[in-house]
Amino acid sequence: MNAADRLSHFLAGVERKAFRQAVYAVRDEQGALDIVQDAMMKLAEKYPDAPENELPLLFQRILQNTIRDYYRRQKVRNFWVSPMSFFASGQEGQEDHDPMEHVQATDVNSDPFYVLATDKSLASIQKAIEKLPGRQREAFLLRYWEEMDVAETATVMGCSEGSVKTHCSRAVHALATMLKNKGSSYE
Amino acid sequence: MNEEAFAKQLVMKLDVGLTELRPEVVERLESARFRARDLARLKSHEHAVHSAHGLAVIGWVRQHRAGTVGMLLVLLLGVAVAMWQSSSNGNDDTADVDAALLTGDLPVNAYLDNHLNKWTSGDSNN
Repeated sequence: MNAADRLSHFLAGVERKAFRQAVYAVRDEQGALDIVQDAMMKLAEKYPDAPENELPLLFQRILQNTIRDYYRRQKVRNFWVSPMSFFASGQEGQEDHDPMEHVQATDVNSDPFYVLATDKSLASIQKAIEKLPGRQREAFLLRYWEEMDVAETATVMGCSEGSVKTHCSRAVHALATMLKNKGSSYE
Repeated sequence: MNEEAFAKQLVMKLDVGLTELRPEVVERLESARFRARDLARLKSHEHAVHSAHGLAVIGWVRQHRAGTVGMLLVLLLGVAVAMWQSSSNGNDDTADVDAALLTGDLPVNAYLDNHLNKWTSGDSNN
């Protein structure tokens, strides 16, 4: 298997998680798809021959930076667009985002009981994760979902290992509080 | 249940959600992956070509060691000659200006004459 095929094989394994991470961060599917595509292209352009064991860390660093770039661009765009749309429509509250609109439709062919039980809690978890502060969400997803150790998470986030532990702990507590009513608390 | 076990339980449910992406999202991700693979192939080939060129140059230098040393000596000699010439030309700057002044159409006193009155009336010594 050559380097390009290795890269493609790696991306096939992480693309869905990367997409979900981007959705949790930017709350927009199209934006998330653009982010994942950008991250893939940057990885291919800068590190076409990177060893397989280095790809996860490199890709996560690129992905998180691309998400931050997207935020910056949105901020600049909103700076100019928001005042104009406010004057144009006079309806300030319409930009409020409903995280539930991104919850995916269930597969009708699956077991209905399983779908009901799983999807309900999944939707709650996804909604709770979207509500987390950015750094906490980033730390939680990298540490537990991407199964990175504290040092790797710190490298990707560009902060100390202590900060990662703090962000993770706060994220888990916040999620537990938000999901308490759904019966998912760990206390 | 401790923090870590709770977190693991949550991400297990998130994993379940990965299988429920809409087909168009999956297609777009797949297409992005193919584009990235093609780009990686191209870049990888470019890197290989560049490194091959680099190796070829190094190989040529090893094979023609005497020629390379000779070329470097000639180059150094050329630089030394150029530097020597430019430094020796610097001393002749004033001479060049004097020569240009003396070979001009106007005599030197004409430049000292405020409005060229003396020179045009023919009283000039030159």
